[in-house]
Amino acid sequence: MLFNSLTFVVYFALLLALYAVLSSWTARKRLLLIASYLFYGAWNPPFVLLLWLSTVVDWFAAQKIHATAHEGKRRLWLAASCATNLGMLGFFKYGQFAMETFQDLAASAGVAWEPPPWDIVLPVGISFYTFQTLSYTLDVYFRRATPCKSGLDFALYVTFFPQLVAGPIVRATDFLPQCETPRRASLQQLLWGLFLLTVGVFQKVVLADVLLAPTANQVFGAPGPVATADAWLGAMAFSGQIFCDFAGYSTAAIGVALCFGFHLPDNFRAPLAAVGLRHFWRCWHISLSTWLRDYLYIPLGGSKSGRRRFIIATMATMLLGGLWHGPAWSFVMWGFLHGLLLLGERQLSRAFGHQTWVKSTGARLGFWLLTYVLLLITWVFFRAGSADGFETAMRTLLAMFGVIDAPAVLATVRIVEVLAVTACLMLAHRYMRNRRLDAVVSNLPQPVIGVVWGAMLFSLILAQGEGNAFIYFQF
Amino acid sequence: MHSSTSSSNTSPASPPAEAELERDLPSANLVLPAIIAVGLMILATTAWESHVRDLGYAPSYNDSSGLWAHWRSQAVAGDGRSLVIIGASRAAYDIDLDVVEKVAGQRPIQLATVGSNAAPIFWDLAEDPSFNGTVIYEVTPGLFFAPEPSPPFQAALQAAKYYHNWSPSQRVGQYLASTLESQLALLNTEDLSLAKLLEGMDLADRTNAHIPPSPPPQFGAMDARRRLWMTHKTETDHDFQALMKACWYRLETPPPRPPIFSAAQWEQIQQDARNALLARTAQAVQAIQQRGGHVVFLRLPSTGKYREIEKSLYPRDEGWERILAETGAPGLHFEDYPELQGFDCPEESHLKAADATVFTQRLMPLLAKQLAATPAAPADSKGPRPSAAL
Repeated sequence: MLFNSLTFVVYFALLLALYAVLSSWTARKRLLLIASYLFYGAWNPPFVLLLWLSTVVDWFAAQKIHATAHEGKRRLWLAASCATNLGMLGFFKYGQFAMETFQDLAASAGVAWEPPPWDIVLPVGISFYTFQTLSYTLDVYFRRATPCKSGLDFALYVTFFPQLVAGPIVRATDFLPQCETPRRASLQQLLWGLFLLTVGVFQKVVLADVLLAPTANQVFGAPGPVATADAWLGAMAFSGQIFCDFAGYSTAAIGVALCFGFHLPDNFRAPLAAVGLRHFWRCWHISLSTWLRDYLYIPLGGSKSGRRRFIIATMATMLLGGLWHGPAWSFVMWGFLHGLLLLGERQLSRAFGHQTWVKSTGARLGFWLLTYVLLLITWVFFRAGSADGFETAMRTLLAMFGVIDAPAVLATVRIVEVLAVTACLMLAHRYMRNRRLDAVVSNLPQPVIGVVWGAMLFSLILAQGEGNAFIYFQF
Repeated sequence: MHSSTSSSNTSPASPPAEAELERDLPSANLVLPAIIAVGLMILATTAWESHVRDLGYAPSYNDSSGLWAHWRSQAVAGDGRSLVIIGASRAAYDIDLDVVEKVAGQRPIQLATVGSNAAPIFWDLAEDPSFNGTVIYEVTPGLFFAPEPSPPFQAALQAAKYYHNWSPSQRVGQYLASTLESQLALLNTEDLSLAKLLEGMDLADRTNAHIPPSPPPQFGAMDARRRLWMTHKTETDHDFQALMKACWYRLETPPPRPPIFSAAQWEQIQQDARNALLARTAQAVQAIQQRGGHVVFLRLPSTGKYREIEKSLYPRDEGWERILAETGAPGLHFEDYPELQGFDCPEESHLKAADATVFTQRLMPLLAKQLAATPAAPADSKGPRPSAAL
């Protein structure tokens, strides 16, 4: 079920009403759990079984890990949890990719091998909930958390519908304590939740789908190269689209959860205002980047174990972060480029960071724009995706740098849309980089908040559309 | 959007945060803004609905993936002996479903998709063992042979894929959307969605830009059964018709040859694509016939300069005759029957609603004859006998 669908409007209204009617906290949690299974099953009912599998395995694994001091047994139960979660993820998401890669390797060795047809649908959001449940077992294993005592609470943690399919990836230590005390949203929380839901869906439907996606689709879906200006506009459009799509989902999820009295962590903090890649990764998909930092980068040595370990940890984290997004070499390339840029930035920072000119306003402005341009280049690989990804990415990059001369394909209205939305997003992120939305809203006169909110709602009605899926559902 | 505390603020190696995650709320009371927002939304929506009705719009149905999937599911409902129409917009405008139902005694299922090459839909029906019915396959020359990566092919492919992945929530969503669309004129994605309104802005394009033409608004409207009706404006406004014709002429212009191919190579590539498409279509015809179903190809009228362009780009012997010869299925070309000629297409490609009724009345007996001439279905087939197909 999509937040931007009529089905969700009805589902959400009914659920809020039922939640308000029930007085027992346990009954309300049960309602949320059943509703979450319904939410997920509305895509493809059999895939609910995967959620149950993940829930049961991690519940028992964490209990067993906590119950014994024997390191071997603890490792065994952790391995069982990892094998189940990563095995599911690997089978559904990377099975075909692995077979195709093997086919290519075999072909390069002169062996003709045809893999069997792979006709398996990817369960929506599998990368999110497997990482979420895995973090619970890992936290118990590393003794950062104790196992949950309530099966109902744990099942709700794994399944809670607002963030189930596209994050934020919530840590058990953030969510489970909230299940211990009865929650009912205050009127202010309910209205703020609805406001955030409106903002999120507006970002997705109006900005991403209506104003930016057509240009990105036209440029990246062109059968051949496009003109230089159009290639840059296509990259800019996708950069804005991916942010509005994904941040829109996260904002809506935070808003929906708040309507039931639950608090979810931030997932984005004005990433288009980032100055440098390190700054970007502190603002972009925060719940994934912190997951990778805590469970991969630091265990691999992080930045405290010497230069060599730092390079290995950075590159491994970014390569796997790329691969997390999808089974394609273009995603790996995206991660590789980010890894290289992070390493390069650190070197440059060490060499020039102490110089005064680096901190000047002009230089900061230049670094901001340079960061944006570098991100655009990396997004080209990300957008190119699976099918003919490298070919599309290289063609677009060559067009961006004027190596290929090709006809223009974008109508003027598309150019105006992309430039206007990009400029607004960049300026809004610069303004918001040290501010919070609730604080900004607090400083506005009430009628202005109402008019802005009403304008967003009306634009959603005008936008119509068929409820396009969020990009990150496929990851 | 920032929270006051979040997991991202904790050090990776640190123990779990003691403080419970809690989001800050705006200090401003949100009750008044919420009332203003809802009031404004209702006011703006009402005003917009009134405005678009003044412009001549009435409630209609969107040609959505969900509506298509609903009718596709009906094609295999029951014993699967349904009567299905596939093709492009001509099939949706020119065939009066009520007339077909009256003559054939069964409700036809309209699966034609505007601007599409229906091949993927046809192949999908052929591969569906639940389908044992009759397919009326409308042939628009410029679209029938549109190659696989082209937008017309992709449009049909996406429709078929959507049906197979049609989720329970999308089914409910389609029911809700249809209910609203039947009441509100503003819910017209073809003309009145925000994207279309923005596209309609009068901004001159770059002189060197290759921008495909987009038909002007208010060309037609769809009903719940997916029949398309030409608007009064299209039927009577000569200036509007001229705009439509110009749009069709441009759409009919073949794409330029990619510079990496010579003329001969390009011709060979196109020929290979046509051969492959015909071969797979012939297999699909056989598959349907083997299950006792029937397939008949249908060429609907076009007129004026557009007809001449079609004739020059797609000569009958290279297109229509090849389709019939290589698939072995019967076909019905409007040029071959005097009673199907003489209809005026206002914009040279589609029939007026009233003409569609007359045309369909004349067409049905001819179709029945064509189907009666098809090979007999196997004795154990579940499909209707040819004479009973219509």
